[in-house]
Amino acid sequence: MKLSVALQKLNALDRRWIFIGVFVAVAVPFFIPVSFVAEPTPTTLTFDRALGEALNRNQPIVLDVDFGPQTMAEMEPLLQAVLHRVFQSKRPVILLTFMTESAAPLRTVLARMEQTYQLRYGQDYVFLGYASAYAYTMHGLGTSFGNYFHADDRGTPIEKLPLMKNVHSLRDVSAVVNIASNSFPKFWIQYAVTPFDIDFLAGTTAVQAAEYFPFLQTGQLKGLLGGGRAAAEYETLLLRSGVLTRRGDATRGLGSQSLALLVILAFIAIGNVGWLAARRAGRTS
Amino acid sequence: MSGDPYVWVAAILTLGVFSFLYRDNAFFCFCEHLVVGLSSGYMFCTYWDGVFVPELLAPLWQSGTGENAHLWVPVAICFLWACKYVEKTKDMYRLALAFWLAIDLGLSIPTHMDAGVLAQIAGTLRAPLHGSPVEVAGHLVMILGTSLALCYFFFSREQKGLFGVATKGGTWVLMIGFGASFGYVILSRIYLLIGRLLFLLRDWLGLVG
Repeated sequence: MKLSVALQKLNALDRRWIFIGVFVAVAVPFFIPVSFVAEPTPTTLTFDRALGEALNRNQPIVLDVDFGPQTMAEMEPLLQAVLHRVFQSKRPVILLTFMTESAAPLRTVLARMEQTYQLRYGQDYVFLGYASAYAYTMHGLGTSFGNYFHADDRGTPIEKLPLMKNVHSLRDVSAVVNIASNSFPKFWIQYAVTPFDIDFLAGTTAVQAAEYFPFLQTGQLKGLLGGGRAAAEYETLLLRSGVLTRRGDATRGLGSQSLALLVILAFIAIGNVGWLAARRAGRTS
Repeated sequence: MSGDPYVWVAAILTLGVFSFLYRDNAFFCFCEHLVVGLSSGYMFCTYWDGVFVPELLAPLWQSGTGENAHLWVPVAICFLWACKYVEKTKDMYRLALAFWLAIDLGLSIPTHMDAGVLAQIAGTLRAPLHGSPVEVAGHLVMILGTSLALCYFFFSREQKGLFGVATKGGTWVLMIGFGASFGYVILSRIYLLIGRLLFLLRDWLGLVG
C-alpha cells in the first residue's frame, strides 16, 4: 500500500527535479574524459558522397546559411564541418543568407576559416550578404544573380568580384547547400531546385529532419544532415578522412546527449508508473 | 575564467534566462525584454542598411526619373499599405494586398504542385523494389504506409470493414511519424542545452577544456 502511495506521488513530482536531472546529465560528461564516437549512418555517407561529387565538378558551390543565435549550438558545428570539407577541397564558395540574424555569426565563422585556410576573399569565397524576399530571390537566382545581388556583404559590386565573373545564374554552380534552422530547404526545393534541376543538399535541425526525408527519397535532396547527432557523425567521417584534425563541439556533446536521453527516458517511465498507480488506486477505491 | 567582457555579459544573461526554470522573476523579464528589443532593432537596421537604402532609396536618389523610374511602383504600393491607417482611405490597402497575393500565389501554386505534390507522388510510385532485402522492405513499408495514411484522410466513406482496418493502420502510421518527430525535437533541445552549458563551463568559467 505504501509503495502504491509513493508511486502516486510521482505524478505530483515538481518539474524542477526534472530540470535538475537533465542539467546534471548534460553537465557531468564534460568532466569525465570518455570520448564517444558517432558512427556515420548511410544518410551522412550519402551527404558526403553527394557533396564530394559536387566539389569535383570544378564549379563554385552556393552555401546558403539561415540560422540565428537561438539554434547556433546545434547548427554551428554542422556549418563548420561542411565549411572545412568545402575549403579543404579548395573549391570556391558563394555564401548568402535569407535571415537577418544569420549574417553576424556567419561573418565570425568565415573570419576563422579565412585564417585557417589562408583564403582570399573574392577568389576563394564571397559572402553576398542578406537578401530579402526569399521566394522570389531563390526562383530568380535560377536565371540571374545580378538582378538580386547588386553588391556583396562588404559593399563591393558583384561584377567586380573575380569569383562571380563566370557565375551568372544557378546553372553555373555545381550545387546549392542550405544550412538552415527553418523551412528554407523546402523553399529551395520548391522555387529553385525542381524548376531548374539543381543538385541540392541540406543541413537542418533535428526537429526538421523528419520533414525532409521524403525529399531525399525522391532525389530532390541529394544529401541531408539532421541536427547535432548528424553533425557528430560528419565530424567523425571528416576526422577519419583527415579533413578535421580534432573533434568538434557536436562530437563533444555526444556523452551529454546520451546521458540526458537516458534521464528523460527514466522520467517518462517514472511518470507512466505513477499514472498507472494512480489509475489503479482510483479503480480500487 | 574568461576576461572578455562580452563573454561575461552573455553568461550573466544566459543565467538570467535559465532562472525562469526555477520560477518567473524580474531578472528573466529583463532578459526577455532585452532580447525582443535587440532583435527588433537589429532587424530594422539590417533591413534599412541592406535593403531599403541600397535597393530603393539610393537608386531613386540617383536616377528616380531615368532608368530607376520603375522603383516608384513599389513606393506607391508602400503608400497603399499605409492607407490602412487613415480612415478615409483605408480601403485602398486592398489594392496592395491584391497585388501581393496575385504575385505570391502565381509563384507558389505551380511550383508547389511540381515540387511538393507531383514529384512526391512520382517518387513514391517509382520506389525501386530491388536491392538488398532491407532496402526492399523499407520501400514496401513506405508504399504501404503512404497508402494507409491516405486512407485515414478519406472521410467521405464510413470507416468500417476492410477500409476501417486500413484507416486504423493509417492512424498507427501517423502516430509512429509523430513519435519520430517528437524524438527529434527532444534531441534538438538537448543539443541547445549542451551548447549553452559548454559556453558556461568552457568559454566563461574555463572549467572544461
